[in-house]
This record gives sequence, C-alpha cells and structure tokens, in this order.
Amino acid sequence: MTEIIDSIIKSTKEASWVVVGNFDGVHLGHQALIRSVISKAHETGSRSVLITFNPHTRSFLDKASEPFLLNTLSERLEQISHLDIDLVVVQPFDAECASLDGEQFLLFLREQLGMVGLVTGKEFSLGRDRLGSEKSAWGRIMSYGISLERVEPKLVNGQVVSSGLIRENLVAGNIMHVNQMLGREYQLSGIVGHGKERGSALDLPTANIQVDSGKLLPGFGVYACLGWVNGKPYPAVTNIGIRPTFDSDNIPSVEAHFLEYSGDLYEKRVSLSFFARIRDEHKFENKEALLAQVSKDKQEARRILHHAI
Amino acid sequence: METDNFNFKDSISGVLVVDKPVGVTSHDIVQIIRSGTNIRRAGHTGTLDPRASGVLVVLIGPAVRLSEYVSASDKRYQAIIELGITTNTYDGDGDVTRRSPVEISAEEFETALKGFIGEIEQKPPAYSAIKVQGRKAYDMARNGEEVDLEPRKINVYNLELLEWDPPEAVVDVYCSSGTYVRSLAHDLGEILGCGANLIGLRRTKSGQFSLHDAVPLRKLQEAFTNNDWYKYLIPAAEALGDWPSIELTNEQIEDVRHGHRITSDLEVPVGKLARAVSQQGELVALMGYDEETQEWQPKKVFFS
Repeated sequence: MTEIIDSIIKSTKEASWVVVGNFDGVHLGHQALIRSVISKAHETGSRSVLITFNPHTRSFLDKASEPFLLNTLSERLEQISHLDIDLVVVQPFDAECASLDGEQFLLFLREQLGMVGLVTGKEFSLGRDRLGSEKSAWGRIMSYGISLERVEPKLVNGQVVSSGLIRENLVAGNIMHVNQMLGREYQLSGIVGHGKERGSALDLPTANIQVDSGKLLPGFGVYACLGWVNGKPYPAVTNIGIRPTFDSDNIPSVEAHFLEYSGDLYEKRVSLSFFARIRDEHKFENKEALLAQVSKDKQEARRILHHAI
Repeated sequence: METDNFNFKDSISGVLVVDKPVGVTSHDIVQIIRSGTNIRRAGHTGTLDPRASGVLVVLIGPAVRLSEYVSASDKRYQAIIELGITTNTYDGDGDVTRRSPVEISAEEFETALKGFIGEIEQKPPAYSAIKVQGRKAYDMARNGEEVDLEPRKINVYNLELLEWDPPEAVVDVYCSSGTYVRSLAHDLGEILGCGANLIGLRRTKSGQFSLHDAVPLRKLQEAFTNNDWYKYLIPAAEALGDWPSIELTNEQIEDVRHGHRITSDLEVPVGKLARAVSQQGELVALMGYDEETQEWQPKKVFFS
C-alpha cells in the first residue's frame, strides 16, 4: 500500500530521502536503488520518496518515438508499490519540468519536499544540463546540504542491468535474459479483440490482444506464456508477428492460443507473462503444415510451463 | 510461482484477530505471531492490558501500514467494576487508597452511568503507558513523581448496566479509541461517592472485529504447530470494512492509482476518510476529502 500523489508541488515538506527516475521496467537495478532509499530513510528516521515521470522523459523529448516502454504507468506503479516506499510522486514531465537544470531541480526538491538525501546510481544525470555526469557535481550537490548515496549497478551475466539493455534483448527475443534482468516475467496486457479471426477458422481458440499502447513487443516469434484471466493462470502459446502465413500487411499482432481455457475471451482483459521463446515465425506452405507445427508448439509450451504453475 | 523474485513472505498481508487471554501482554501476542508466522512485520492495533482479555487485532505484512487507521477504531468492552474500593492504579493491581461502604441502588448507578455518555475529557490514569516528555508515565509514578497527564477527549457512545451484584457491577462500554476504561470506573466511583475500581475487563469488539471473529490464543498456537494458521488470516481489505466507501469505475481506478483526484457524491463527516473500492469490492485506496476543491484525494493506494 503506497501513498501516491500526482505532482511534487502537492507534497508536504518533511525530511526525505529521494530517488528520481523513469524506472521503466522496475528492473533489478531500479529495485536496488529503491531498497537503498528505503534503507537510508529508516536509518535517518526520515521519509522515503520516489519520483517518477509521466510521460516517460523519452516519450516527451522524442514525440515520434516508436513504442518502447517496458511498463505502462500502472504496471510501473504496481511494481514500485511492492517495495514499500513511503511516498511515490508521479511527476508530470512537461515543457516546464524539462527546462529545469539539475541544480534548479534539486533545490526545488529540497524546498518543496524537504529532501535531505538523494540516492543515485553510479552514473546519473539530472536536468537539462545532465548534472551528475561530471565528478565536480558531487561536491556541488553536497554543498546544497543534500547527502548522496551512490548505489552499485546490478550485473547479470557481467552486464549492467539497464532498461536499454532489456529493450534490446526483448526485441531480439531473448526473453529469459529479459526476465532475469527484470526480476520477473515480462508482461503484456490488453483487451481481447476480434482481430482477423483467422484462428477460429483453424479451430484454435485464439485471443487477439490489443496490447496497452506504448508497450514494447517482444521480437517476432512464438513464445510459451501464462495467460492470466480473472486472476487465474492458463498455459498459452503466443505468436507475435505479422502472420506471414495469412497476411501481407505489416501490422504486428499478439495472438495467444490458450491451451486449457474454454470460455469466451472476447472483450476480456488478459495478461500474458512471457516465459520462453519456442521458435521464430515461419510462413507455412499450407494450413496442414501450420497445424502440425502448432501442435508441436503446444507440447513444447506445456513442457516449459510445467514448473511455472 | 517459483519464478517470483520477490520474497513470498513479503506478500502475505492481512489481519489476525486474537482472543487474548489474561496474563499475557499485547506485545507478547505480537511476538508469538511473529515466530509462528515467520513474518517480522507485525503490529497490534490497540493495547489490551495484561489483566484484560479479548479482541486484539494484529496486522501482518504490508497490512501493517493500515495500522494508524485501524487503531483509531471504536472499541467495546465488558467491564467488571468493584464499588467501594479506590486504588492508585484504578484497577485491582495497585494499592487500595480508600474504602467506603456501598449504599447505592441499581437506579442510582445507572443514572451516574448516563452522565458519562457523550464526548468527555478523560485524564489517563497515572499508571499508563503514555509517554510524558519521553518517559513512560508509569515509570514516573513508580518513582513517586507526580504525573500530570493532559486530559484527552474521548467519546463514550454507550454505557449499559448488564449485571448488578453489589459491590460488583458488569457494564457494557462502547467507546472511541484511546478511552481508558479503568479511568471511567474510577471517575464513576468518585461521582457516586463510594469510589470504584476496575477488577475485570474483556474487550468484545475492536472496530468491526468482535469476539466472534477472534481465535483463542491456544487455538492459534496449535495452528502454528500444524502449519495451517492461514485459515485464520483475514484479508487486509476487511480491516477497514466498516468505513464509508466509494465505488470506482475502471477509469477512476486508473486515475486513483496514478495519484489523481476524483469526484464522488459520497458525503462523510468532516475529516473522516473513505475507502475506494472496485466494482468487485476490492480495496483500491483510502481517500480524503478536500473541502476547497470538493474532490477526493487518494491518501494510500493499494495495488493487490
């Protein structure tokens, strides 16, 4: 349970340890930062505060960008709430906010929130002028009466966990590596729509999912997933791609074939947790060849997901 | 799921309602629950004296954050009052300071009771866990120091004489949190002239949890041994089941979870908070009303 406010200016002023960022993915590295701010707050008897931006700073600064988010805002806040921080601020990232330089932003936090300490990663940059990237920044920040705690990055397979690295791996289809860095399975959620209904012509219960906008799709291919309906998990095989067997357009779709669900999914909200990649997409010669492969995919998914439920 | 990276124990959250026996402190109960559940994060929501028994509401896991709200809830007790004897602790534990004959009728007693109903100012007993400038009042009292405790405003909703067996009387007490029943007993004795002290106390209700919802300590301890204590765990959302609620549309749930305000027709007394629930009845947030903007502001948001 968390206290959430929708702007820094709505906060009360109380001695606070603060961590700031987009926190897209709320991955292992983010979790370490958040745990650190909670710990420093407890140590000093102050309040722990997390400031996150909405929209994501990149969405604002590059309005034409393709979907790239690992989390919707709701998913982000839900993951953050597991970590028991005192106050979460969803700060609107607009032209005014984007124009602040690092020093102005920090002083604003000090005056408005009562910030006494800041938790950051080894490398950080705040504000329009990217304050933090030069060593002299530390001294300046401390001179404002703000303590600093720098947290070591988290490594997985020798690489620093970052949202950027996770996105690269997701696009490449390396779902297990993605999940390791996130600390949980990657999830896509949305309402089941009618899609092109090719699946029912093949006697496959298919859910064509209209994924929440802005979310990054895993690289095209076939995945073993758990599909969550009404809070219950069902094994599923999910195709992400442009359905080369049927379509010639290039709009990617997310189609989940639920292996043990017999109800009607239309217009229901479902979530897919991605566990493993089974194979690449293929264009099959004919319906029979596709069906034969689908049958193999189902078996493979069952094998993979056996341990998950 | 084995792939869940978060410590499973972090996600057990809820309420255990215990029928505390006499002779055990409220803190002892919390310790027993900590070792029995293996969950460090636990706290009770309203001390019951070791000499008292009855409903003790313990929050475990993340639900501990509801503590300030649950602790503020109303309470109900069965009090056994002994007339004619005044003590320094206001209960049977301390030294007798005065003895008087008891020549009161049930009607006179009931009339005196009526005088205590409503909002009253109560001076907490000197022997109490309240801190005065950081030191516990009872430490000071034991050292013979004069303790001057500020009177507190409490609300006595009802007092009813259940049994009249002079010099003893059993009274049903329904009051706001923070009420010291032994102070009530003592003050009642002063008004009647003969003096009185509290010789027995059983809490029958704490907020919306009554004895009916409470599990006796021994049964709970058995359940710890058998590793099936979960059957007594009440969902965190029910801890505030008696609060006024606002039902949210799916859109409003999103808004509230992002810290945004919403409007609602619900009217509550000034300063009172409300629960925001989903159409399925799940607790989404605790909301406070902003008089100026006439909107509801989420104060605490629940995600699961």
